[in-house]
This record gives sequence, C-alpha cells and structure tokens, in this order.
Amino acid sequence: MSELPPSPEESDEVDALYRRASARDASRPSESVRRAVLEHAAQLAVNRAAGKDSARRGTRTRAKRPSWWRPAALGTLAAAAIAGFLVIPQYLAPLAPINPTSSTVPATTPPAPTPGPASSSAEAVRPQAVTPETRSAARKEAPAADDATEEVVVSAAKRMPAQGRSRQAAQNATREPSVAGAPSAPTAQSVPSTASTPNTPNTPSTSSASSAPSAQDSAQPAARNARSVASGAAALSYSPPQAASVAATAGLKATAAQLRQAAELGNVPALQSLLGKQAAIDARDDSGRTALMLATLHGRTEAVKVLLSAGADPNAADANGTTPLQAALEGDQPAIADALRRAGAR
Amino acid sequence: MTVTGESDEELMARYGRGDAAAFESLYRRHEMRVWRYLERNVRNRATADELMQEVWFAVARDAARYTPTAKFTTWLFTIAHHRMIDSIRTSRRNTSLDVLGFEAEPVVEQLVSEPSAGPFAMAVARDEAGALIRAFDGLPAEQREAFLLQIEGDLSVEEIASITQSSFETTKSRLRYARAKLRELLKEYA
Repeated sequence: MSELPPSPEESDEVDALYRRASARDASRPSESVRRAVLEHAAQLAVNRAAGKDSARRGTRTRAKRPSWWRPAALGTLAAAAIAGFLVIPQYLAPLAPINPTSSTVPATTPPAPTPGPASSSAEAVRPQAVTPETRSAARKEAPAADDATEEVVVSAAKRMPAQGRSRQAAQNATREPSVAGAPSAPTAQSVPSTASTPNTPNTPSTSSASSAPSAQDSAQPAARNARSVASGAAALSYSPPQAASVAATAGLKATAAQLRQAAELGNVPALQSLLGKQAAIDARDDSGRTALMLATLHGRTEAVKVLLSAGADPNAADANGTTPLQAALEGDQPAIADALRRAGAR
Repeated sequence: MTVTGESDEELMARYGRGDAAAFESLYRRHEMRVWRYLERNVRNRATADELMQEVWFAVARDAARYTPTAKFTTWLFTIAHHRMIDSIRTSRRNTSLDVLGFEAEPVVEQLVSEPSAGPFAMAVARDEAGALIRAFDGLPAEQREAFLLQIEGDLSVEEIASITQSSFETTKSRLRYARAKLRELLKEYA
C-alpha cells in the first residue's frame, strides 16, 4: 500500500483491460436461473395486471405484515362463533328433555317403584352406571357417531366443567363396576338405578340391586333414561349425533386456528401446548397458509424450529404455490431458511 | 437509455404496471453485470447463481414499490450487495455449526489469504482473462467489491460509499489501491 495511487489515465487503462478480459470470460449464469427469474417475474406481472398483487403473500413487506392479522383474527372468531353456536343451546334446551325422565329432582319425578328402602348410597350405585348396556344404548342412539368422534366428545366433555352431567356420565362410562350394591354381574335390574342417578348422588329414589323384584317393572322407563344419559355423554349434553360431529370438527378447527395464531406471534409456549393437544399441525387458513408458513412470514425462528421438530411439512405451499423456503428467502430470513432446508424444504 | 430507447427506470415503471416484457429487457440488459459482480466477489458459481436468482426475485417483487429517486443500477447493486453479505454471513454460521453437512462455500475474506483456493481461481488460464482472475484473487475483499461496484455497476464513489457503508475517503482509497494492484498484476497485458 506504499505505492502511489494510479493516475486517471492509468485507471482508464486498467478499466479497459478489465473490460477486455471480461469480454473473453465465458462465465455465465446458468440457464435455469434465467428461466426461473423470468417465469417468476412474468407470474408477478400477471398478478399485478389482474390486480391481485396486493393479495399475494410474496409481495408483502414487513411493514405490511400486520395486515395478516385480519384473516387470522376473523378465522379465529368464526371458529369460536361456530363453537359457541353449537355449545350454548346445550346449556339451555337440552336440560328440558332429560328432566322428565330423570329422577334427580324428587318432587318432579314419579316415586321410585322399588318398595324396598333406599338404603344404598349413591356412591354404591353410581359405579353401576357403566354397564355395557349403557354404552350400547348410547351407540344405538348415536349410530352416526363413530368411535373417534365419541372419543373427542368425551374428552371435550371432560374439559368442560359446566357440563357436569356429561362429565359425570363420561366418568361413569370409563369406570368399572366395583363396590356396587349388586356384586353380581350387571343385569337389566341395575339399569334403573343407573339411569335414575346420573348426577345426583343424594337422590332418595335410588334403588340397590336388592330391589330386584320391582326393577323389572321400571325397566323400560329406566332404559330410556339410560339411553338419554348415555346419549348425552356421547354428544355433549343430549345434542344429535350430527351436531356432536360438527362440534368436534369445529373444536379441531379452532385449535388449528389457535396454533396458527401462536405461530404467527412466535408464542412458543402456547405452540407447544397446542401441539401437545394434537392440534392439526398442517391445517391451513383461507389462503392456504400453514402455521409453519405464518411463522416464516413473521420471522418467528423459534416457532419455525418447534413446528419442524413437531413434524410440520416443510414444503406445504400456500394457495399461490409459495413454499415456506421461498417465503423465508424472499423475506430475508436466512436462519429460517436454514432450518427449513435442514428439514428437507425445497 | 438503450437501443430500445427506454431507460431502466421507465422499464421498471412498465413492469410495475404488469408488463413482463419490460422486466425481461431490464434483466437482459443488466444480467452479465450483476453476474460478474456476484461471481467475482463470492467466487463460487453455485452461490453466485443462487444470489443471482434472489436478487432478481427481489427486483421483480419490489417493482411495484420502486420509485426512481436514484439510478436503477444503484438500487440494483444495493440489493446485490445486501444479498451477498447475507450469504457470506450464512455461510460462516453454517461453517461454524456444521449443520448443513457439507463443506461451506468459500467466502470473500477466506479466499484472500489463499488466492488459488477458489473455483474462480481454478479456472485460471494463461491468457488475459486468466490473468485478470488471478489479479482479483490478490485483491482484498473490500477493494475488490468497490472496484466491481464501480466498473460493473457504473456507480460513483458516493454511491459505493453509501452501499458499502463506508466513508467517502475510505471508498476512494479502496478504489485507488485496487486499480494500483490490478495495474501491477496486469501490466504485462497492458
């Protein structure tokens, strides 16, 4: 660096030499790059000409990204509204049909047909609620609901404290008969006591198995009660099986929307919690974006890593065909792009 | 202005309105200049290809928001510079973590101390072009980039200083020393 800088004439000479040498350099960008660039540009031009450019994800800048909140928020609200629409009526209407057949309120129910003393406690009676007949009755009432739906609904019933009756029935449905008043095998005689005390441990009308002579008289109404209770357990408080299926679907959609929102916000604890609840990891929003895509668009590196480690599809493209890797590259997110490539993104 | 009579800025404006042909004209006009800038800086053909695609994707994506407050080439080479720096940083990080499972791409600074290591240098021939390549290998990264920005991007010292975030005097010195070294290395071809 001790030599003198060149004069302008010498600079021109060097520049001319450089240009001459460059002209002889056969190095060229690959044809695939040229083709990719021109196709991409042409596609963008078509989108612009069609006025769709603003809707295209790839054109969004960081400053514009908060506008993605709108569809995400609307989607979450819609899912919550659907869930609410299905659940709220169950607080109001379903209680009516069960009361006339239930003996939970002594004043409104016919006296128990059992002449024997109501000596058995509810604790002794309740385990009998889970007779196989009860379950089969529930299945007969809800033929359209398959086992998977029933599992979802039962677990949903467990999570909803307000649905006391359903929860109780669900718990009963999973409990084995143990200290029941009738140690013998469950029979039709045990059904009346089951049905009559689904949720009222202190009801005076409960009969023990020792009241077998009178149980046959009440077998039919009791069986109806059993079906009703079991149906309630299977369909979240006595709603039709179709509604139960829809409720389960709406619940899953709401969870998926929450997952996408957590990914968008980079809320890793929430993300892990939702993934632990088996949220659909590759569920898409209206624009075809998965949680992984949203996390990528918002530069949520940790969220991306969590989703990838949980098995998110690294190549799940959105409605425009843009993959998460393309979004990361266009959004200038090298760390996310690296994580995606390691996960097999193309 | 070119044979088509349209400036770069006019072509960008046309493309921003959805005319794909304008972009193609623009691309073909500047393709080799951007390519030489990238390849001679990173000295790896695959990396240069990848950067080339990223740069032009960015140009296409941001065309609708482009406002000709500066020369198009200044904007274009600013994008190229930033993409290249990002690539170098990523390569460094990947090298240190060894997460990609393959050998890291050579980066500008790594090659300065070992001029014959890069693929660019491996293509050296006993002609003028080969001598130019060897000469570039002998330049420090900052000087090489400043020179390439000026000769390929046709940028002023002020514009180069702005892009590389250096002072005017520093940039001017880099350019002078780059030319001095090139002149020395290429004098037998002059």
